[in-house]
Amino acid sequence: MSDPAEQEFIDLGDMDADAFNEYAAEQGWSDGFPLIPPTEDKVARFVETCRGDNEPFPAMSPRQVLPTLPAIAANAVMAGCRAEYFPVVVAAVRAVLNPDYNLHGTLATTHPCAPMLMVNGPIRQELGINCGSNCFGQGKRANATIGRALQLTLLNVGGAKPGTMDRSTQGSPAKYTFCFGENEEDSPWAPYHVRRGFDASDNVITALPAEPPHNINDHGSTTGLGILQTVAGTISQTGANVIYGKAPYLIAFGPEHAATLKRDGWDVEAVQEKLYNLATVHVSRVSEDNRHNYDEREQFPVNDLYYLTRSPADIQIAVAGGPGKHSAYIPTFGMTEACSVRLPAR
Amino acid sequence: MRIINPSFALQPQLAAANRSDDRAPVDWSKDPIAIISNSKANAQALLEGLKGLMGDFRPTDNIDYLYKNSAARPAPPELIDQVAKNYRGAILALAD
Repeated sequence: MSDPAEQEFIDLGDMDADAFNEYAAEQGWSDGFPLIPPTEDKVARFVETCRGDNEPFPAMSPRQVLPTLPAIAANAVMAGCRAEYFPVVVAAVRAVLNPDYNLHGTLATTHPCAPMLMVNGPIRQELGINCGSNCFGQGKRANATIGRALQLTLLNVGGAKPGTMDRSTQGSPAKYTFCFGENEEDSPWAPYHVRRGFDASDNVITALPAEPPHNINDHGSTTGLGILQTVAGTISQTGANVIYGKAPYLIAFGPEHAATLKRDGWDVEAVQEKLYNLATVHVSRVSEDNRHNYDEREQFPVNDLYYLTRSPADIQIAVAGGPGKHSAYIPTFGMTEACSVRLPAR
Repeated sequence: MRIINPSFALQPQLAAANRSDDRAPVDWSKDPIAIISNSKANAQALLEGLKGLMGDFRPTDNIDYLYKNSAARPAPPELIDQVAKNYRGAILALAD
């Protein structure tokens, strides 16, 4: 076997799946879970689903190389995707390659962020992407493998090897996969992608470098205001990167919390405005050293409060999950933007 | 079994064109070098301390301190150009 670094095709002889997994681990291609061999015919079937998608990819950090569709497809095959998932994977790659996403910073950082992928549009149902109960958890092939395919692409094409170019101090479980759909059907508001200017019938993937979801438990509040107070309390912490106040974060309301908000007259803009003003950190909770640290980064308190985003519009609002009195706060890396890409029409 | 290499990628033309370098290897005992901070707290102290230690075995008047403005962003192209034009080597501090 020759050095595979520079060649597109690799002949592995009579190697079986077990031996392939040992070989792939030796090459540094694995995330630790077993991989499906990316045989030439399987990869070709995946690439076929993107026929006509000729838009070139920009260079991918940290290797600063140009991805090819077959190499991305090889990672999607290894991740366990079905071929019909591949256009979503390609859109996810394009989303994280948007300069506003800050891929290099998010891969090389010591922070534990991973690319969160949220899917909107009819393709959620067509591919079986979980938007309801346990949507951040295990159980659905599309969620598990689309997020994993992007991670493997960043590992193998991008070169974000843990401990070398991926310098995350502790990492997070979200680095295996982090993909879900918005529960548009149970949302009382317009879908997230429609609020961003897309048509309801568009299929859109949104990427945000993020920590895993932090649960917001509120079984007690019976009003929208009460729920927002609990949400704000969960966000108002000193140790997340949002304390620098330079980036969006996402609140994924559970449908029951969202329904209560809607019943009490809260639209999305009002929720954003309320959280912007309520989810703050008082200077008394911040160490003196960190106050100097934030000053140097031009994050100054206003009336003794640190605001956690640049504006109310930075607060991304979506609805996800099933029955229950839970929502989720998804903090981001900071120095980033939510990047949305529409899938090509089929 | 014949597979597609999941690490395969194309080299950007510019990078490929610049890859050949027939200059002599860096002489760390005398060549001009940049010490570069990622702008996190402690990075400057670490680099200046390193520069002081290097004074035991080499001149330090051609060791320059540079920094990027944000630890969360890649070094801007102008900074990389500056390092490439003026220095033979660089030491980076990713000091947290």
